[in-house]
Amino acid sequence: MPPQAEVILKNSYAPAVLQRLKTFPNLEQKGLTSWLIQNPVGTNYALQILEILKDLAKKEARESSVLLTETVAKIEPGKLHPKKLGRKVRDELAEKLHPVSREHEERFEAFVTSLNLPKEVKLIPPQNFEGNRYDLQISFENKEELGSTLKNIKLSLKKSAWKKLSEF
Amino acid sequence: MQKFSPQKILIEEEVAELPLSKNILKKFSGVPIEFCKEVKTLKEPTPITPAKKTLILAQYRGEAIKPFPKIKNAINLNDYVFNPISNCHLECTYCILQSYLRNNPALTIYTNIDYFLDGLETLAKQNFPKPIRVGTGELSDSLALDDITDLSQTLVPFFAKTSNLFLELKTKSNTIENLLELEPQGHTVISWSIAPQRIVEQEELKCASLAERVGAAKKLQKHGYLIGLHLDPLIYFEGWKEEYEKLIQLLAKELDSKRIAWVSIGSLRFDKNLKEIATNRFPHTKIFSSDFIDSPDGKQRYFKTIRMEMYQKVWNWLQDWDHSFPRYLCMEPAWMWEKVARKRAPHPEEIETSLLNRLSSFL
Repeated sequence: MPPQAEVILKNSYAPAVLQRLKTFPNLEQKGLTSWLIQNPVGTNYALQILEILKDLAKKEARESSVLLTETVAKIEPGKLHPKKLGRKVRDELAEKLHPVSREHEERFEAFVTSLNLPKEVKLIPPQNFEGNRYDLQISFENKEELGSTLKNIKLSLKKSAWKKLSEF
Repeated sequence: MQKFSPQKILIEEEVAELPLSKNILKKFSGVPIEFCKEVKTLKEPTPITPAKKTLILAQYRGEAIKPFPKIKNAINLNDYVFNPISNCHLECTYCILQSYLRNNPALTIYTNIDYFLDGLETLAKQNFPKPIRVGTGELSDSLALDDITDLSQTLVPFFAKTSNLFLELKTKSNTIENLLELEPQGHTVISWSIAPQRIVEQEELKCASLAERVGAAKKLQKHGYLIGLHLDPLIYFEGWKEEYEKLIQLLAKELDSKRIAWVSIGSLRFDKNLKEIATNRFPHTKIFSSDFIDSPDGKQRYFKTIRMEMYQKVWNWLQDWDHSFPRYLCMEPAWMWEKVARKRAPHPEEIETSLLNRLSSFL
């Protein structure tokens, strides 16, 4: 890595980012470094992006810098604040690395929509869907609102869509 | 399988005159030896790969035998474990010992074997309501060094004489010469961790090939041993269905299902330390780059639908082969059992009883 790039990188990120960059092949370091310098996404996003890129590159047998360029092109980065860009890039890459779990999450979201639950209610699956115990989160301001929400939950429970809960 | 060939032997003075130490030293007559008071004083974190080329002969000073460590949120069984060997010269990319023993990776044989036998005798004399299953595979491969230690020559006859202890020796080797000279009397199960040859070649370096493992299992079945199979860790890769189905077809063709003690099924799991160590030691491996999630026990596992699909397929292929031998999921919670077997998850006692009943049926 050119010393000048190392200095700029050190000014924008914690040392862990530089350390992680150095675990990439030399040629790829260059592309990744220049992107991180141009887009100061913050240390956390940088670390997460690099970790996912490393796994994804291995999984798809492709270069990390190419994968990053492709992903960024899809996002139209010009319109985004660097931190938002960091989050978007991380999420896009994570989706590529975890296609099965992402598809499951999307199916779950569609299932929740089909239940017609009141907007004050959130159906929360177990973390990473590990298990079969769900939480229901209800937000309300007063007894009347709670009563009304509970009534609408009861109505929702009549929907046959609930049968699909066991699929998750 | 690649044989173990140490570059150096360290031996504690206290065990130098023990018969097992002397036998081992005889087998490595050209290897440099260093004596020391107590190995513990020399132990310090060292890189794993060179450390595994040092053989330590030492005295075991801990608890001789103990219940197998329990896993949070999983169905745990009642087996016990003792560890006459620590670490393993085989090189599985996913081996958890790389993380467990990272501060203490030198291959160590505890040669005060009578200490373990005393512990086993004490265990046998306790009035447990049911027999006890005992293994040696927590910190090492149970047989990979048997041509060096000849431990099976002591252990198999010892267990054959007990009425309430059963030994399980788990391996990825084909070191069975000693076993073929012994009569297990139904008290020793030899288990193989089994994987498609493609996984053996890429991830189970230095281990016996699939054909060698199956060939060894077949020989031992004919000799009168019960065989266990561990389809663990299942690894998710493109073409896994075809490869694992072929694997079970091969097992069905080569082995006598009526002399199979049990089959366990588990999938790849690892902690963050292991991933870092393993990917540094084995840069070629791709198995840590997949659809993993953090599970409640702190380990990374495949996302649940991937695990479920793999378990269901393997579970059903095994069922089609022969539904009479016990099958169990390794380190998975009750809800996963229910999804896979499509019935109520058994209580751990029920599984233990089914394994013990299976063993008793051969006595």
